[in-house]
Amino acid sequence: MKNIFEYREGRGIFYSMDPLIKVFLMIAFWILTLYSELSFLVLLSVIIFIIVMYSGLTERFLRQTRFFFLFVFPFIVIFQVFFHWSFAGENPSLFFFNPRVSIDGLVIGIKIALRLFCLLSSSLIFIMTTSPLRLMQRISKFRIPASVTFLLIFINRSVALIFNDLERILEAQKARGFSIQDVGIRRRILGYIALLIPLLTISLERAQKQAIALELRGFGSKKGRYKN
Amino acid sequence: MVIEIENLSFSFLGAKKPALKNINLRIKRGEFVAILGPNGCGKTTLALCMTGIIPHFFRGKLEGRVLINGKDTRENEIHDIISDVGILMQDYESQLFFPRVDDEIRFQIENFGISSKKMEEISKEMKLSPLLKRNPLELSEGEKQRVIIASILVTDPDILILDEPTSQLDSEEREHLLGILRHLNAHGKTIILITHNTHFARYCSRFLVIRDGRIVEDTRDRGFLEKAHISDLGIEPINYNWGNHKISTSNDLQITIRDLSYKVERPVLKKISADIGNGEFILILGKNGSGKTTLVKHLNKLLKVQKGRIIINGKGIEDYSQREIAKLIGFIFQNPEHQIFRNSVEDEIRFTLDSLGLNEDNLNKTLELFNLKEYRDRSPHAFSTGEKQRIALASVLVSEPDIIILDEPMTYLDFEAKKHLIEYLRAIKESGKTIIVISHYPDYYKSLTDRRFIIADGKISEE
Repeated sequence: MKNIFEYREGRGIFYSMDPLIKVFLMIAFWILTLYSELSFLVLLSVIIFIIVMYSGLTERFLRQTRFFFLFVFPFIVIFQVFFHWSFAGENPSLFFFNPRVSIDGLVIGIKIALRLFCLLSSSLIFIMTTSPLRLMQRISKFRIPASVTFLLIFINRSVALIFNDLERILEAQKARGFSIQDVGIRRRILGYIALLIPLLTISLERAQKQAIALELRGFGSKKGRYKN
Repeated sequence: MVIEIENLSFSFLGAKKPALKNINLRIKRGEFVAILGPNGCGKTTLALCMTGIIPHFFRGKLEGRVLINGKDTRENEIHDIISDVGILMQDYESQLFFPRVDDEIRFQIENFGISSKKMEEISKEMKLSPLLKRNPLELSEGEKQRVIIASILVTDPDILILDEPTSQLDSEEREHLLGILRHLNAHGKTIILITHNTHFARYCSRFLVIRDGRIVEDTRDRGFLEKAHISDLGIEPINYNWGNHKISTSNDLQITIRDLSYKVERPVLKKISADIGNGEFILILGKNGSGKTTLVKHLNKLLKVQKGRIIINGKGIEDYSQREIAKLIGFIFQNPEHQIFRNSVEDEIRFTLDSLGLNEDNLNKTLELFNLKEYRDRSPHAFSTGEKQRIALASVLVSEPDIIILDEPMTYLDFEAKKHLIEYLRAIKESGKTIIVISHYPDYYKSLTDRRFIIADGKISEE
């Protein structure tokens, strides 16, 4: 889990492409995604899979999107199939749940799910194929403060590390007789809520250490090539 | 003089006691200095003062002055100071930011506007060339440290400070790091080593001992570490006798492992078979990454058996529930940071009792045994790593499990705490419990060990 959302060395056109071109391509892809209809969204999804296969990312990509395909995609489609009509019309009611199967809902559901997939997966491909340092080097030439780019890199990395912390804490709890996977949904939710404070504490402690480390690495130094 | 410290005292903001008291110290170019002392005595604080992190990053009351190559740390920015002094922090993983080794080094080069030719030079000197495209977090602990040292050396600092560098290293990696430090020292670098590991500090030319924020010993006596009286200062003498033990084996089988194999991308364990008797003290040795932790994680169901069989007390491990196995086997992880997840020390210990459905009879006894009674309401996150280790031990041992597994329990402990732990382990061994310890330091357990298992390349052998 630790490195699943991070850049890893690889080969392919997307690895060697200038990071800025990739940023523009990604934004163009997002715009296309937001304004496309079902048939074009299917085409965009196929393009994504071709890029993933061609860049040698298939295994990692499938691991990352597994949760989406197993839970999010079916949830959106099923929800739309049964409740689409609740949100249609001029005065939709958010809490008017009276399930009724609709074919329109099926089409809308697949469209929403595919749109979400295209947005998420294009961002994932960008993250997995772009060296953060190269991105920072390119962006700093456009007078964008390095601290802004570094913040994005930092957030991306921190998310991966928080997942890693969560895994380790759950393992420690399991070793002490409490397995969050084996309890009922209510205790499970409470168990996860109880972990928010330790996770936050660990993350803040780490953020402080990393801030010190960043100072010690000379980030923002007057002599450096990055300007804040 | 590369370092001059005059009348330095420092108190962290809001702290009741000063962390450093009236420190006077002058270190010459090319010295190899060891800073020794018990947990929480002020060693790391002193190192932070030498890098300018104190007073620029941590606020507090600072008196006196610190000069690094003549630069006053108060008057100069951290960036100006660190071109003269580099530091490898105790939690060195937090010094890694990028998913590629060469990017880590290049980041430093860019930060200081240095020629990119330095990259090749440094990677060659630190023998990192084959690792340049790897992800630093996937390297061995020794390799990770080498990446950070290489990044530090980019600016060619005169002084290199290492804070507890051996805590995660196996014996081979320790000797390798020591070789690098001696090489750098021979080329004129001033090395400052903060450590509990006196054996690692044996080549130092000067020894400083800090206690309660004061320097209580400053000597260039090469034989200092061998003197028995240094134990009174809280320092482990280099040839300290941890005792000998009359080996006892048990015919009463408690754990049977048969043909255990485990694979994640590559085979980690290969057909491991072993028997452990009731009341035995087993020491598991092996290099980092050899599969020691993977093996013991199978014993309390933290890892699912892929191939092979484990029988505990005559019952297959698959027939135990997680709660039953946790009641039977206490597991203490290597890094205490990930074992602490509650809001008070007492709550942390109580968690085990609650999840195992045990009454609270042992709670006060355990708090007392681990000297935690007066801190019972404090947040466990507010303690030093060594103290957190103590809390982690207490939180597992409170349930008095029959089998206790400890993964590198000495890592963050000072001499006194180590002696205390050994005495505790002796007491529980005498009460008939089975103990399994993973360690890179077999000497500590000489007085307890019945059998040693060595794991190499996923296979087990008995010494």
